[in-house]
Amino acid sequence: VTELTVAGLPLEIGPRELVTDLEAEMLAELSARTERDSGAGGDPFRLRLRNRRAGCPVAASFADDGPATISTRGGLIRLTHRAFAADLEPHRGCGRLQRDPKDGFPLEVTLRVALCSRLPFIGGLPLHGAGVVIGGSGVVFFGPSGAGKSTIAAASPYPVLSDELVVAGTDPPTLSSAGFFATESDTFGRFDLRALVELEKSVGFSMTVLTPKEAFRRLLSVTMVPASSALWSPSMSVLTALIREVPVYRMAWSPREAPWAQITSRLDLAGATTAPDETRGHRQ
Amino acid sequence: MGGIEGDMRVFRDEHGLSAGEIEIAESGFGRSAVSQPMKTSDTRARFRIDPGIAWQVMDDEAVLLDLNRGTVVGLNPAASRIWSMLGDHEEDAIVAALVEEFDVSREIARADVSQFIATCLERSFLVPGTGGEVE
Repeated sequence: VTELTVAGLPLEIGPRELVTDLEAEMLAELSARTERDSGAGGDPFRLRLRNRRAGCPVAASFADDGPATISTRGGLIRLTHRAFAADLEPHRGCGRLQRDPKDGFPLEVTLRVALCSRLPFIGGLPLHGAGVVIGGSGVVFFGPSGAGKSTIAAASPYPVLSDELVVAGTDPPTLSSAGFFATESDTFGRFDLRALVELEKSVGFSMTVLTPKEAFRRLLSVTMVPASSALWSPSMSVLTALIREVPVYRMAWSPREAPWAQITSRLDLAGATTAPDETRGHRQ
Repeated sequence: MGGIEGDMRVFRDEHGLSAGEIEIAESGFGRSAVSQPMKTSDTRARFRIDPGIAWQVMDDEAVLLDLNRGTVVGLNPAASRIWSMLGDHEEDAIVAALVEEFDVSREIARADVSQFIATCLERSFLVPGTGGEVE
């Protein structure tokens, strides 16, 4: 099998002889954008590959056209697309992918969904947001479309893990890149998670602490877990733990005024002046 | 590359949770006191939580996530207490707990429980069944 760890989740993909060159290239890039150590996830998620063959009964489940769709039944996740079909069992940490071996993306899409589905069972949450490393501490900026996640990430003088998808861990609270949607930055690894910040564009700067109930509801909307109560029950437990460990703020800000001095002051990020090089994780 | 339809967020409304968001029983006890209490034979009726509902209690208040509709519902402490007991308690036991914990009369408590259950059934948070949560 091919092994790698993404956001603390060990992955085993096999059999190795079925991993195509395209897929091996994708896995190498994914591995380079995330950590390989940790082992915090315990048992690996095992994904078994199969090549799609004409006449195979499973082929009937391939969608005719359009993007991949996700359906859930109980704790099972099914992905269907014209080029692949995958069944995932996040609670057991395993799955199967049958795909046309000439395409590279089915494995990437499947691994992304597997990661987002499995994380809640190991104390992690995939969050739609921008992850910034300030003085060695992680801060997640989240919010609805237009609130400025990409804007603040693009203007950040500090390393950015991703402006799309990051992983928050609990006990202790951590922030890591999900590997997918990572920036071109060579910053990766796992960092102490100092704060979760909901963005709201305004004419001036202000930063207020959200109550746990407000924080819970706001973070639900950016938690990237497929819609299955079997996955959301553990997700909500993880979210509850996360909110107890990490303060959640609402930040009103204007893109016309750099907010970083106020952010670092408000969050008491003493090491914020650390040069980006010193905040980098360890390239594997 | 092939994308996933939309994304995995339950809430597709980019403006947040306000759309479709509802609150139940915010005004607490007494609001439904004018409703008719359930008949004695109904007190043994059992329900189960719809499989599309995930929920969590935070600071004595339950948050229900309706995965079928992509909405969030917040319950006040009294409603949260009712909700958390529905899966494995008879209605009489729920009423008794409310009387003890919220300092209300049995009649008001019973009426509120009845109204709450009716609302949950109407909104498909509960479905008739044999009690408990099921997949």
